Amino acid sequence: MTFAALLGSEVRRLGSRRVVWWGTAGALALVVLVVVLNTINSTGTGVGEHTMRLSKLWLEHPGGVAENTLLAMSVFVFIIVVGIAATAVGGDYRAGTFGTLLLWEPRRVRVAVARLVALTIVTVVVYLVVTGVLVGGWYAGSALRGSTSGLGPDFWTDLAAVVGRCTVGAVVLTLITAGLAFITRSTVGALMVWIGYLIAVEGILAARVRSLDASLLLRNLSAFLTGYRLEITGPQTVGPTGRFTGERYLVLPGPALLRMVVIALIVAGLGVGLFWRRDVT
Amino acid sequence: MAVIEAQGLRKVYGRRVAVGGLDLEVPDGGGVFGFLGPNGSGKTTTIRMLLGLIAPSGGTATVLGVTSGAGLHRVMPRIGAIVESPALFPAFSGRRNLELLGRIQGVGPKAVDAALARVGLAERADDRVGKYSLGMKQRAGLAAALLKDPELLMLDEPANGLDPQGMKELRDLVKSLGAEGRTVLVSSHLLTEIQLMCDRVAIIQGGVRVTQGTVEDVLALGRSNGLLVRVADPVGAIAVLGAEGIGATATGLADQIRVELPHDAGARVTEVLATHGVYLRELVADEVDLETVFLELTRRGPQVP
Repeated sequence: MTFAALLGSEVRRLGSRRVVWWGTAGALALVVLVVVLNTINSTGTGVGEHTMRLSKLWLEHPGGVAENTLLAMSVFVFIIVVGIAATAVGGDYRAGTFGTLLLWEPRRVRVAVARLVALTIVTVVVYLVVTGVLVGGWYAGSALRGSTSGLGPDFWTDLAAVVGRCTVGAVVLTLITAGLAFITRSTVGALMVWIGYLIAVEGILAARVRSLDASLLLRNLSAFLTGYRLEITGPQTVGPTGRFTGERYLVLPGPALLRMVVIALIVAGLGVGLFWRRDVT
Repeated sequence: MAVIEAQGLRKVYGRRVAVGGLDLEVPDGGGVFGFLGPNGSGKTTTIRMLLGLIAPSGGTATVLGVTSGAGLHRVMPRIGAIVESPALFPAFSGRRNLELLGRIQGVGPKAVDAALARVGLAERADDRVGKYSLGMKQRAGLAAALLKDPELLMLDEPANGLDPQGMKELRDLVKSLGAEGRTVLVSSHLLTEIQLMCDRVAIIQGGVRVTQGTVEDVLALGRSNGLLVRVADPVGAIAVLGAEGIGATATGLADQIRVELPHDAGARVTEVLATHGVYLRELVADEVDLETVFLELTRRGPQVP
């Protein structure tokens, strides 16, 4: 029983799941809809006046991002891969199929790691397929009824970089979600933990404790995906010299990636550890 | 050498003792071994522990010479199992489920087809498992267990959901597997089925072994064979037989008595009673079956055959 054989079986099992196909189909349908509507509704005659412009996919200006259609679409794909990851683990608990799987490969850490690696592969494929259709469609739409001009010299390099970062972001979210599903032993449980975390921690707690905000997932994800530093400020007061002073935190892309990876490894590791120790009934 | 050996195997959930120090030995050399016990007696929990699905709270267990748990992966390719209701992906076809499992161990499509055919599921192999009846799911689980061409099979309640025809086919299949030199452990509460297909049995209750041995040995633990006689005057018949030195007791049925003589002594009973003007309405052998012994033993507690 080699790990490669187990992984091959896992990838095929995931590839046979309806949630993967329906999720990908849903994302592709949305992409096509957005591209077609933007192409049809494209207006203007000059290079800068077209509403359908290739540069709308991703355009940077000094110190920030000016256009981010690719990023907005990526967030939608993130939601889909989170759903796939939750189902890929929680669904097995619901159907009781982990027990069947362990009758073929009783080394549980192998089984869990194979599942996580298979999910990573599927996530990367789904993200790249959807993004590929978006970029290709957008290019075609811009060429047909808009503009492919006005691009910066590094447009394609920047676009590739943001696709790469978004792919990593999607994998991080996949691993965290799969870890949560291993911990809660439920698809719904994993999603509820996500929603609860976003509301309670990222929403309410982070608003009160700004120093915490810089360490949380969404801020770091945001800084990493854009590739630009994020500044978080707390309540400001006017000092004796007339200058504003107060809490100020910076989230830089490099450390942001490190924090995200650490969070993903902790959650996924905890999930694998519990899968290893718990009874499977 | 025993293919399965458990000593003092325990599983405790909080205050509830599911298996309370079970000793079990399933001998090598093929054949069908019945693992009997009332509902909740710890059969499934024991099988789960043997297969490493749940961790024992105490005791030891070896399967094919390997301690259950860490080293199980070395022998798992030689073990096929069904635990309770077979769990397969409901959205996949039976064939797809088996193919995905088989890939883990390098088992190809031909073996999948052969396993499906052997359990009589070839025609419905491409239907979704979610559409299968309980009996068909059971067959699919059995096909998955056979896919490895295992030398040890552990089948937990394999007759669940099967109709009479399916039960007969299962019985024939299990017997043929045992005759091929494989060891088949079958847990069930369907005692007639077990008696028909098993060579040896173990009976457990409350998570401990009540008895273990060949079917004949275990049957011998029950009451002796006798004859059931129906007559118009049971009290008079008991007196007549008693006068001739033949033990007889009322069974509780209005016109029936039980005569303590072997099955081949019917002529003697007929002769004695007829001589005294007592005529039989019916005379049948009082067979001791596994169900009777099972009920007696699980009331009494541990026995040594």
